[in-house]
Amino acid sequence: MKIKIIIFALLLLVGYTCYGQTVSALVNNPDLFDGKTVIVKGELVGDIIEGKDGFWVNLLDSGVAIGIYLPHSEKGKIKFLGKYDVTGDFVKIKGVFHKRCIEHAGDTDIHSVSMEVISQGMKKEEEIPVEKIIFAFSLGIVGLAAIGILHILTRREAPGDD
Amino acid sequence: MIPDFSKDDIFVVSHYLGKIFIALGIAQLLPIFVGVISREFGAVIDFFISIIACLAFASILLYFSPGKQEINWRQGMIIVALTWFLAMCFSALPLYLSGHYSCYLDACFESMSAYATTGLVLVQDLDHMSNAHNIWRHFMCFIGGQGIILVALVFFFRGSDALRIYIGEARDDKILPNSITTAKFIWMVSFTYLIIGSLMLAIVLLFHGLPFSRAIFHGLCIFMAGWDTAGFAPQSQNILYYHSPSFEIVTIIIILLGATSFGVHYAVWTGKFRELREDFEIKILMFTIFFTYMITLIGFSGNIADFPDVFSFFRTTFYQLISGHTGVGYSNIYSSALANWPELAIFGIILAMGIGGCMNSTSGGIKVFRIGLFYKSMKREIRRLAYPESSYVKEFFHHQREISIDDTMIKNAMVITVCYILLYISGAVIASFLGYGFLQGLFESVSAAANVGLSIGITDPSMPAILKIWYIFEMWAGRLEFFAIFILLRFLVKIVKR
Repeated sequence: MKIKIIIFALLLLVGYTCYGQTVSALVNNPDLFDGKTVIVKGELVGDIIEGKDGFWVNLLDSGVAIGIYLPHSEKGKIKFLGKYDVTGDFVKIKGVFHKRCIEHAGDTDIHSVSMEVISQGMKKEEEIPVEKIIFAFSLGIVGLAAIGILHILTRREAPGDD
Repeated sequence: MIPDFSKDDIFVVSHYLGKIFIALGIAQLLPIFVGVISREFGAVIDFFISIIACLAFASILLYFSPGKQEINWRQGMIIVALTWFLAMCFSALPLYLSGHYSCYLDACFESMSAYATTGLVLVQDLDHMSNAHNIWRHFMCFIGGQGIILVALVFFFRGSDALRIYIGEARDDKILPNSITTAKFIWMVSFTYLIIGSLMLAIVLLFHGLPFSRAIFHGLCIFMAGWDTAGFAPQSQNILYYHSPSFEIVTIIIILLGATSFGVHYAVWTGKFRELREDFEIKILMFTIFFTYMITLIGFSGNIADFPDVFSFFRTTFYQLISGHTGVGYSNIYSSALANWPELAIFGIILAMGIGGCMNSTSGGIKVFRIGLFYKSMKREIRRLAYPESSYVKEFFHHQREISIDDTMIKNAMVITVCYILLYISGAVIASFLGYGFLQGLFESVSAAANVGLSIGITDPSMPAILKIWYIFEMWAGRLEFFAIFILLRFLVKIVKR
């Protein structure tokens, strides 16, 4: 009997925890996941935004981002937040998804229970394609020469014009 | 007989377009400056290419068009319509070079959306966009909100020329005796609010722990897109990114200021605070906000329990409503959440978006002024029927001064309103034809034509190209209130026929 109860409890727990969801699936089917424990993976982007008893960070997964609310104790784990020249930390978040969070005035968010850094982000070297540099340089020379010549011709042909 | 288009038209239009494109090239020095201080040299190159393209185009136009000539009304309208179209094409160049757009059409869509202060976006991976490109997106909103022509007015035009192209940009209120001083006043107000508004937003973000430079950057971007009722944001989650009701309250103040006519701003700046209480347009705006919000509330009557408390219900519903009504398009919920709202609530938002803000503000849509005129006209007709036949009934409204309504005023308002309604419906019909729901299509079409920017989920890089092109047309026509575009189209038809 005890074993049956344990198996039933485990099944309930598994049913209650939705593993490996994409952010897009959560956002597009909020009723399905509301109040449930979910696991999402993605890149941390933007800024750390301080809240009352924790902080916000936004997690980007396949083009869709969601706010993750974490306790202050987790802040030390975050080294990089994604932006133009930075790849943010790639993390796995386990937390409770809220379609309309009662604690945060109706925000759609995830309250993190645990955060694991899968791979640390890094500052990227800006890569400018050589062709783009050559194109810009040539265009600059040709363009400026053309502008100069046309300006002189315009002045000659229309004396007294403003 | 209407005089036909002549070569002179082409020369005059080219000459002034050339001058405006010099200004457009100079405007891109701002993103270059931001790119240099942020050490984003790839972005600097993109803007360098774009500036050269603008200046070369300007030089060609100026070379082939003879010296300065006086502009007539028709040429003024063509200059305005062409400026907006060509500015879209050229301003899209640095956006496209950023690599954040799947094709040039998407970059054009984004630049027209910015100039027309719409706010619908097709950008991809916005969270990794350079500060230089991001500031350009928002600066285009700032330029477009006041009017591209208004920028050039201050520098390049004089006297009657100025008035003729000023009117073409859907502004018919001369706040000050001439158009150039009016343009200077509009820029002065905008820059003053830019400083105050950006600082207010930055202070809220500093309280949320953002570093100083990031808080200023976000404050500037959100102000430029909020004041000009554009609705762009530097991060993909739009206003939801900030998770801050206090930040949202500041944005509501800014967008209400943006949706108010510059005439009222002038009155307040000159100490006539009672205008805020007495202006007919402000009263109508307050009424239509209340009325459309009531529709939205009724739409939600069976679903209020879905929200955890009254505050979150109000925060969610009122923010979308005020954002739609003023034409800003900021959103603190996902598009998919908006798509799941009850149909009547969505209709309330569509109605609010369709009505829009005040005339001579940065808002789009039919405008509350015209709605007010219809109300006054109806009142006048009812009184006329009730009074003896021999009596002469007049109806007045207060808009900076006491104005008596006349039939020409009503006729003009009616023509523009009908054009807007046809444009709204056309987009919905095209979307339906392409397989979207009619209500969805209507929502997105009104959002584009009224220059709002709220999305129910249709606007996406993967949507059909025909719909992107039609929305570009809607944004362009809606922003310029049709006539400049009609005259340009007639001009182009005449050229093709020859």
